[in-house]
Amino acid sequence: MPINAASVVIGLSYASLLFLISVGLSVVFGLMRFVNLATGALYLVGGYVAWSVANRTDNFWLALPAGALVALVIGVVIERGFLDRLLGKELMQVSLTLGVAYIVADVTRWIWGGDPLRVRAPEALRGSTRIFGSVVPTYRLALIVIGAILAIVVWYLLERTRWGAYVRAGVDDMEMLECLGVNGRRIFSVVFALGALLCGLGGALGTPVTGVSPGIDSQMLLMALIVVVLGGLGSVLGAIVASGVVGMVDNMVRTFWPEASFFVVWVLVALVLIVRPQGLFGRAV
Amino acid sequence: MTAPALQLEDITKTIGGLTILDGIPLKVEPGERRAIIGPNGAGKTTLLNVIAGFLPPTRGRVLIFGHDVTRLPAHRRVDVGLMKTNQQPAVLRELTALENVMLALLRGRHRFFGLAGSVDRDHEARRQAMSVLEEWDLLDVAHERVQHLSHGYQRRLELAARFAMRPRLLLLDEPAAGLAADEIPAFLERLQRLPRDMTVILVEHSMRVVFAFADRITVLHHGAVLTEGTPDEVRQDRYAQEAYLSGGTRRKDA
Amino acid sequence: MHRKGLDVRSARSSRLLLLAVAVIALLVAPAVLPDYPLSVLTEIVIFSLFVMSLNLLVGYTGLPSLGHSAFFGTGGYAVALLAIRAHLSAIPALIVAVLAGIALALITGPFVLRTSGAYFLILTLSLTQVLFGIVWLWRGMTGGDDGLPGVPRPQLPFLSGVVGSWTNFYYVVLLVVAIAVATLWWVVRSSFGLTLVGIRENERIVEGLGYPTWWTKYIVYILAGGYGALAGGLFAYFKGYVGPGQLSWLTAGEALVMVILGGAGTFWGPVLGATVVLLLRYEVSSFTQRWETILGLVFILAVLFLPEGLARLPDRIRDIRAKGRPAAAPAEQPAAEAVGSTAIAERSEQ
Repeated sequence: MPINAASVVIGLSYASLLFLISVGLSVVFGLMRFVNLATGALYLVGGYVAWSVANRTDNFWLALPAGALVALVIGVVIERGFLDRLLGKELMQVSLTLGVAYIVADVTRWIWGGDPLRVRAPEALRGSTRIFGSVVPTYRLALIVIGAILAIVVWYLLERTRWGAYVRAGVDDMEMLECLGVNGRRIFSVVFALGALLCGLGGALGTPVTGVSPGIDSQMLLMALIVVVLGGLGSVLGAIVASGVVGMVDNMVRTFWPEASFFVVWVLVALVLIVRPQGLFGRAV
Repeated sequence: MTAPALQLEDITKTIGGLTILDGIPLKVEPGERRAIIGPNGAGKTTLLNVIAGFLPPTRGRVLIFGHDVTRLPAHRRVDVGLMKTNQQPAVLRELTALENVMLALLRGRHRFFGLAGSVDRDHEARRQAMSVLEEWDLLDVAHERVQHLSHGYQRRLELAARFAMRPRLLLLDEPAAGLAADEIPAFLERLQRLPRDMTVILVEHSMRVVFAFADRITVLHHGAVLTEGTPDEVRQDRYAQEAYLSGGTRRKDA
Repeated sequence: MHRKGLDVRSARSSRLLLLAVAVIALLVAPAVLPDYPLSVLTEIVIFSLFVMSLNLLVGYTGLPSLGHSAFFGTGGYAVALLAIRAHLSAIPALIVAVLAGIALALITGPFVLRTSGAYFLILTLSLTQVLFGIVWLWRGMTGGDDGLPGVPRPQLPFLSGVVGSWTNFYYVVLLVVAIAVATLWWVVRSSFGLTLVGIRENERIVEGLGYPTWWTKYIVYILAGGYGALAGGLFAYFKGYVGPGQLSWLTAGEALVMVILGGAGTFWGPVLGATVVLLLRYEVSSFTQRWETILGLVFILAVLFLPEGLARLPDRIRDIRAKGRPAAAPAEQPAAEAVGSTAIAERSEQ
């Protein structure tokens, strides 16, 4: 099967989801060397909540913010409740965020059961569209557009605003930022909360495509880690580019060599890290 | 003719386009006590780190007792007799004072990277360590974790551990920093008791310590050697006064 | 000085007593335990070794690995392949398993050791994922996601017929793990072990003392790989099966939490961590479906209340008691005399 518009669209729409879950993880890591293994759990919660809201109200556009908000709440609880004890302690971070991930996985299975659930795309985005001679699902196209818009918004926030300049300075050198009289801790809180929000939004947006079921949390967490490592920790541009690369590669491998889909991206990561431990756009370790 | 204890040739270090050290020459004779002074940002600490092997120079050569060590990693330079202390005392905070000294003494004692010997059963090393601690008045805290010790104790422990390894060339990076004013005389006296055959290079802000301790003084300014001479010569040097001695007071006032 | 020496000695002898009691309890356990609890105990013993090997990296050297299951799985597959395909007996199979783990560490060490901290965490994770992928794909060799069933459980010949097969296998495991733990004790107590702790504290200082720290880390990574693979080999025998789950990063993550829960950098902490987590899993799951939630809560509570781990609980209780008294002063003390008096105060408390 040749590479056609359809496979590009599918790859890029997946990349949109990857970007949403990985950008928060990346910047949070860059700022405070904080490894959040509950990232996948936030995606999962976003997806489930969106499913419930969509089912009750039959309104997809209500389901999106609902999923994002619940993820935000969990993120804020983690950040407010535990973060100060965990700074600089990778082991504690792993233990705590893995603990949250366990609980979320179990509680969601309790509430929503073990079967995969799927939200139907909103009326306007169902069906398919012809583009460059291929027929592609309209919702996938919409995902790409949404992903692109959010990527631009995030990029603008971080690269073109004063607040973003503080964040970037913090990624480079947190102490220096504090020397400028900026409260690095507060900046981190906001970044952490925004990251959680985007994760949940990703889960909600993803359900019409991937569905939501137990296990998707660890799957998405691993994909997010791949993107973050590949792009370089703390780099928004890196997250954008790496999401694209991983989304496209993953989709291509799925088409040509389905059994190897998971394997190839990890080999890609391993190779990049061997050559460039700091990732494509990261600063030297 | 014996080789100098330390000889630097054209040592240059640039970091990200910024020249920290600019073609520094330096020659220190065996047994000499040399102080390196200069205003903040003159490159003193960088220079010590280049000598100790923690930073590779961009250009130039480092010779210790005639051996070219420019390409040797830090841990191999210990073999030619070099040891260095840090601004923050280089002690391991979660270990006890005794263990800190033991770690220094056990280097190279047991084969296979130390896998062949037990720490507890090496009574010989333990005895040595205890006598080093006694010599430095640290016996009463031998079993205390270092993090529970005061700064002065940590500084003494740092020196004791390095001293236990009998260095021939000792680099001291601001050893008096962080000491209370009333601790300095006793500390200075300790430094002066160091054996005369040991070459010592001292970077220090306390002029009291520098002028009492050093045989010769090198003044560093903007990464280059401004002047060099005996304490009296430097005290009278107009350039040195302008660059540093006045600058030093200003720094204190700030 | 004199009193302190006495205290150290009495602490040591009480610890020896505790160890003796534990050893005896482990030896007589099969006499009182039915098959199922005995199999849980066997698993605890195997996991203790696995978690101890990880602790060598994480707790002693300060290298947070999230991919130690790579070695656990390698050992498992080595044993399973040799037992099923080559009908090799347990001792040579386990030796090959250890060698396979060592080989894997030899190859991957130079790459993962370029980093430290959270980067090390993620790099070791990707290592285990690549292995997971290889196993998944190489169906002809590894059985893919079906794994390799039918690994025969080794038995001690002089006990066969005397005791049941579960009991016999339990003693095999106990013997192998005891030997491994004794050598681990030696490693930790050697000057090499002291160097590891030094590196965890501050690598540069240790380097300044003349130690080749990179090589030290490489060697401990290799040792941890060997011990991890040994535990993995035993686990394959225990299950009678090896599958990709043994390689999964979730196994590594769980082992990491066991290290933290038990006490990173303490010798017996991993045993406590493994025991608590596995007992929770098997015991709690018998009366509630929600054991995962409870396990998650335990992880979180451990971070909040026992960041130093279960093994340091006695020290912590002593600290809290000491805090109630005015004499026990905190860390930063400006005057030299004050330090002396703290030392004296602590001594007189014991």
